[in-house]
Amino acid sequence: MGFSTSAAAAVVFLGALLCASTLYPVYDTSTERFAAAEDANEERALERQNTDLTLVDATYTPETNVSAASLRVTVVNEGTTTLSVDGTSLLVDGEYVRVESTTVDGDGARTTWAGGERLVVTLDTAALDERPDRIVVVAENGVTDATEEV
Amino acid sequence: MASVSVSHLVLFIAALLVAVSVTGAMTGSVADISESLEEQSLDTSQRIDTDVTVISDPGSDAVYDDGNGTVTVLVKNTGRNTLSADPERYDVLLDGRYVPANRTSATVLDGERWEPGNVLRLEIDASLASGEHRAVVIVNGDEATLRFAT
Repeated sequence: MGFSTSAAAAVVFLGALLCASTLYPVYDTSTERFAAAEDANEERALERQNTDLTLVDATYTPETNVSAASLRVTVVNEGTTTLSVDGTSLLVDGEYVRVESTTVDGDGARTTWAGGERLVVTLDTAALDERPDRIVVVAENGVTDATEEV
Repeated sequence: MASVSVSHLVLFIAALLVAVSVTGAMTGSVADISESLEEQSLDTSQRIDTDVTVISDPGSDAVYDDGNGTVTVLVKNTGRNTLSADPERYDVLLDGRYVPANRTSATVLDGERWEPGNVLRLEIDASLASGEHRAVVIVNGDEATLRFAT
């Protein structure tokens, strides 16, 4: 091979090395990012599988003054996933209702709700003018339970 | 001979120039590809981290208001990402038909942003005939479906 051919080959080879050094870190980061997202997704699926709620009681206490009525809902976490109190939502007759206060096993300062523990939620009844027919509780991962015994 | 050396030199320079041009084009393309790979991996990991669940109670009267012609869908963010509540950022299908963003309005019910665990109330202007219907919300490629009857 002539000297010019060798020199040209050397330049192309150096270029190929530069390309590889540019591509490889990006490929490595992409693979890692994808794997982390997949792992998190599988973990969420497992948590959802291990979540089980039971709405054990819903007590509506009417008052002659409607604004003083109260609706208290008790839910037991019968699964093994620890849930977030703030992430738990309640629907009353299909409408989202704001939570006034919560206690977990009697403690009002708790923000997590472990397996076997009892969450008691007092709801804002300002929008209710009669006894509701159906209550639905939704955990932060989408698992639900409902009752029509109010 | 001097003329032979000059011609060899010219050929050498020409060969080097061609090699440098090829290498330059190659590294330029690889830089573009690596940038695209980086953005694609970010996009893919965000899609995997996105999960939304419809929590509306389909048997309740809260889903369809035939007086106003409004379908209300409650969507909970059950993924890892904070999502945009702007109707322009996600797609809504009603009975298979695309609903333009100007016919929908969205409100986060339990926070300022649609963070994980928060609920988005999506209101769709639509007058529906009696029967069974289906609403699909697609956020970052993740679909959530609500089947209901009017």
